[in-house]
Amino acid sequence: MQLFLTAILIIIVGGSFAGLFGRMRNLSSAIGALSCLAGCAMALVTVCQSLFFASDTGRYLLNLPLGPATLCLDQVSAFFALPVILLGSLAAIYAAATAHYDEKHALGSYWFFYNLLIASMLMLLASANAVLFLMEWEIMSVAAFFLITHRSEIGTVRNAGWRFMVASHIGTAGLFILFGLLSASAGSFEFDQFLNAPATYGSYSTIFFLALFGFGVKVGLIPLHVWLPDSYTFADAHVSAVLSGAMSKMGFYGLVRVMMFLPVQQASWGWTLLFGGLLTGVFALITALVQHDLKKVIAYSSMENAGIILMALGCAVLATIWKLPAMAFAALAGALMHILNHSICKGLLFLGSGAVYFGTGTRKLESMGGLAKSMPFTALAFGIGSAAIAGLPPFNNFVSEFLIFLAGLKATRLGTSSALLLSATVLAGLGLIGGLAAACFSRTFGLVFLGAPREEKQPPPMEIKPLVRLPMAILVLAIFSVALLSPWLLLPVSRVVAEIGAPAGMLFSADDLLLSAVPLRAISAFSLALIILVMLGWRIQKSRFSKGEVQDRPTWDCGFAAPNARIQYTSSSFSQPVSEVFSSIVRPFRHGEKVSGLFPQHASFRTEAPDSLLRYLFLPLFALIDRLVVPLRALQHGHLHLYVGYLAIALLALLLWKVAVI
Amino acid sequence: MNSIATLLTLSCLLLLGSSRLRVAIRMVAFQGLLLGLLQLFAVGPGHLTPGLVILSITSIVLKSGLLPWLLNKAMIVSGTKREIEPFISFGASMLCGVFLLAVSGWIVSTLLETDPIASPVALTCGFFLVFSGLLLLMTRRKALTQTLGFLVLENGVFTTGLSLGSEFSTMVELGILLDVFVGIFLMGIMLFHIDREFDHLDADRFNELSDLEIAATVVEEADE
Amino acid sequence: MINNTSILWFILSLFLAPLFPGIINKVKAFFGGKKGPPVTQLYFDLFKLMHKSATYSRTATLLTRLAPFAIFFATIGAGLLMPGFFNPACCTFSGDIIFMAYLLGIARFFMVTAALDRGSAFEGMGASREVLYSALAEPALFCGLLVLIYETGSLSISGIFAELSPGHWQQNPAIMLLIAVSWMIVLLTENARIPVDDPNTHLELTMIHEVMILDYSSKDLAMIEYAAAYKLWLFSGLLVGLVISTPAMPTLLHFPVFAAGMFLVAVLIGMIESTIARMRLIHIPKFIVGSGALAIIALILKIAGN
Repeated sequence: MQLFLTAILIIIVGGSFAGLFGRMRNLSSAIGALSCLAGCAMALVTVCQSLFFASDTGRYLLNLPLGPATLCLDQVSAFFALPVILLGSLAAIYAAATAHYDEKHALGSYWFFYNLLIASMLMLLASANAVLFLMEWEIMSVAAFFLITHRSEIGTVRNAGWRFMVASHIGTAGLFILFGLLSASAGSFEFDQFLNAPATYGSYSTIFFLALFGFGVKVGLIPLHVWLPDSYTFADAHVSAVLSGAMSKMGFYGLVRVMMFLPVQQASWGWTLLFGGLLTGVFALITALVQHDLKKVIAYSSMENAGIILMALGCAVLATIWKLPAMAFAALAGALMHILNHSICKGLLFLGSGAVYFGTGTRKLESMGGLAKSMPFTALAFGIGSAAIAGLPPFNNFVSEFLIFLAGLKATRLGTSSALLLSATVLAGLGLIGGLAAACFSRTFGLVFLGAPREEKQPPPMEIKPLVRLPMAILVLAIFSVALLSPWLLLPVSRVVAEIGAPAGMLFSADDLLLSAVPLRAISAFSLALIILVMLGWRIQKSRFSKGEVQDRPTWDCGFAAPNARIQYTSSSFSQPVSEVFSSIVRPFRHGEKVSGLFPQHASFRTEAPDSLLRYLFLPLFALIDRLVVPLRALQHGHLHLYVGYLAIALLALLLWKVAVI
Repeated sequence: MNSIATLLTLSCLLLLGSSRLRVAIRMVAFQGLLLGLLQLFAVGPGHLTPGLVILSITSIVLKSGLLPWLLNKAMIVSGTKREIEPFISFGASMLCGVFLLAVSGWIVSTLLETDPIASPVALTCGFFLVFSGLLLLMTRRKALTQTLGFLVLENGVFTTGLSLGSEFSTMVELGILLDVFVGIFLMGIMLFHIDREFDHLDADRFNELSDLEIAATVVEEADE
Repeated sequence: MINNTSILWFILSLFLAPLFPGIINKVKAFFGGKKGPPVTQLYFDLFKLMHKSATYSRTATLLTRLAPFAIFFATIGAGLLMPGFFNPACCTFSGDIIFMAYLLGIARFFMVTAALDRGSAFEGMGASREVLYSALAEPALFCGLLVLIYETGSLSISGIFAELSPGHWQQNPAIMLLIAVSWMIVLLTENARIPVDDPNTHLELTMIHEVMILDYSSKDLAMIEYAAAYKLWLFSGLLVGLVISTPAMPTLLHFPVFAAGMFLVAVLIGMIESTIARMRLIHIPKFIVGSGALAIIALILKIAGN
């Protein structure tokens, strides 16, 4: 525990020094990145101790103004620290290596807030006290806000930051109420006391739904997600990686923690999580399929994976109620591993999108194409990340999605209609989400890296430097390790699952672990075989059988006399079948001139699809609130003597009230 | 009897998903045939009386002969062969239909807890036909398809009655039959008249009838 | 669980798969009053292709070189999980059909991205349609699977086919028939057969599967054509296992009965291709959703039956 706290301290101190030396850009980056790395490495030692060797890391008492606060790193916190450490360190390397691309923005405050973000997340995981938890939550949100609005001269960036702030605070308000109720029932702010507290203030359901609201904002649950796409798009690439890979996982951590405080689960929670997750996933994907901004697509995909994790948690809750330990194990293991896997893949995708931005100067899918020739490493890394996040074997997301499928299948042990409904929802829903995710990412990868360049770029795109490639390479390695070593990774995950299930009375046996591990062994064997065979086949073909190969013919164009890069399929056209089928939900704007005449010379077409929930739910709602509040403007007239009058009246009223009461 | 109910359900699903009016009319005719057979099966082979057999043959002739012929004539006269895209798309209508089937199944299963029902599958099918008839009435634009929805609704009421027990007397069954016949006859007249007055059968423009000013302009159009 | 004896059946299926498109083409030729190409035509085509040298477009990258191998090995890997000839698959575990569907999914992902690799308008068309139709067809496949899991109580496809018996067909004919029809529609969708796609069309604007392989040549094309034939074999094997389900069959009859079943499925596909016209593209999603609806109805009937 001491090591962990020292790590946090190093990160913060390093960040402060980086902030002080802001003028000297290289020194600032170096101090910031190195302190972050050192801190993350030390934290990793503690985390590995806790996860792999199951050692208890001890507690620490911190003296806060409102009372002593316990700091404790149990298995659950240690597991959730993994994404933070991994992405925090790799994004720091990336940020330091790419700092020279952008000369005009201040770097000192940037590093300060970055390190503050990482440190606050680690501290959040260690807090076992409601006040400390909420403090760290706020610090995390504020640090994220400053990181998002780094380029504050751009209007859309400011808007995104503002939206993030508003949404985050609405969620935090929910959390305040939540922890207020919990502490009032328990009589103390300590997490240990929450478990055994009777539900005197607010029933268990109220607490659960408050937690779902408060943490759902951070995670991206529909319809609380409206801040998410803009914030992840307009932040810098490595910041987006940390936000979507680590910060949103803090939302899941909070949800799991609160569920661990509630000894009795209800079926309605499970169904809400299940259907909420399903709707989130499907909505996110069909909106992602019509976006034209690379990072927005990746941001919506974060939301989709959050939906999958919520579905898994819903399965776990229902399994606990129906007393099916094998199903609960598979669901929880799937949720946890998906949290880790998604962080890895999403980090890789966002870092890759940053590389693309540095190479081409744009995020618009319509202007990209053919980048695989000029940026081969980025193409390879992004391609592996795309296939991974679409949930395809032999990569890592498939392993966790398979565990969730397995949980859905294991529900068939019960013959009741609700078990059947759960299985059908999981199988059909995850199948649909998987198919749409494959569609979305084959589109993204294809539009950016494959084909021919749609616009000529001056200067031509250049591959990123080796130091920048290092974080992406490490993440690719992580993808393959998790995919191939998944059966062995189930052992530490099973300990975390046991800890989550213990408060609800779920006891898992070794059989449950085995039931999930056996398919995973087969899957990793198949994955390894597939990778080796494909590589081998390709090398053998290249070395032995490529006599007479011709490599420079034009693509088949069906006799079209002058094909160029503009005849390729565009982003709107690729997603047209899907947006037709789901047109009532997505509703893209279509701007285009109708093609007329025998030899039309000029035509253009464009689609735009702003977020439907933002457009149809929140903007009208806030406009309504605006209209209702406008009459209050009359109070803000600017007459100074009337303002003094307000003060005087308030003072007089307070005085009279105090006197009257006494 | 269960298999007839299943065939009814599947024909209704095809009705929800098809955009071709001819197929829809054929499905309704098929449903009429199935209902006639269902009448016979509901009573049981042991209790068949000649009156019952004649009744079922009459209903088959009416529901799968006369009415589809009327509807076909209306379709030819109006010149529409295809349904235009409804308010929810065809695929979504089919999925709604499946969802309504699940809802009917759930309703029947909760009803079963209180009282035994003679044939739960037929009752589920009856509820499903009623709901999908309503769905057709609500979401389709052409008056012809709405007529078909009304017919499916009647079929559903009939099936529900049959499944709750074949103690229904002949009088009530005749009454239902008459109800259907009169309703369709009226609708037929309306269709032909609608066709002649307004020159199109888009039901979602019926709301123009409510505004007095617009009625005046419509009369002018008819004069030209 | 690994079954060593099934490896022989697996290898046999590898050899027999190219016969499948040949039988379908023969049936179509019969309906067209022609003699048609020989049943072993695909073998000759594969042999011819192996001896040619490849031509690559200048826009193509490493992906085009890797994709045929990925497609080939992924499809064959899916074959290792598929029970054939009334024997369990080479490798069985809980939920193996999901892994099989996703192995076919990675093959499809490589096919689609390699199609975009060449910067051709037509291949993009095929790719965009393919991803939608397969996304809609997967839930239908899984819903049908769920009903069978409820019927038989086993979580592995080999276990399901081992447990299925004619008794299931006698007890619940409607449910099994609905699943069979639903899976037939999924077969037609996934393998790009009429009414979803016409394998004989020459108009690139209307193609879905054929257009994505326009720019492959020689050994790459051979691998992809073989993989397409094998995928058809896999889905037909699903149908045959569902319909002909006799667990206590003497070992001598395994090969003839299974081969006869596959032959009948091929004839059925040929008949469908010869008698029905290809659907308009805007109606195809509705068609696939219809198959999903049928599977869900089977599910509802199963629960109502309990």
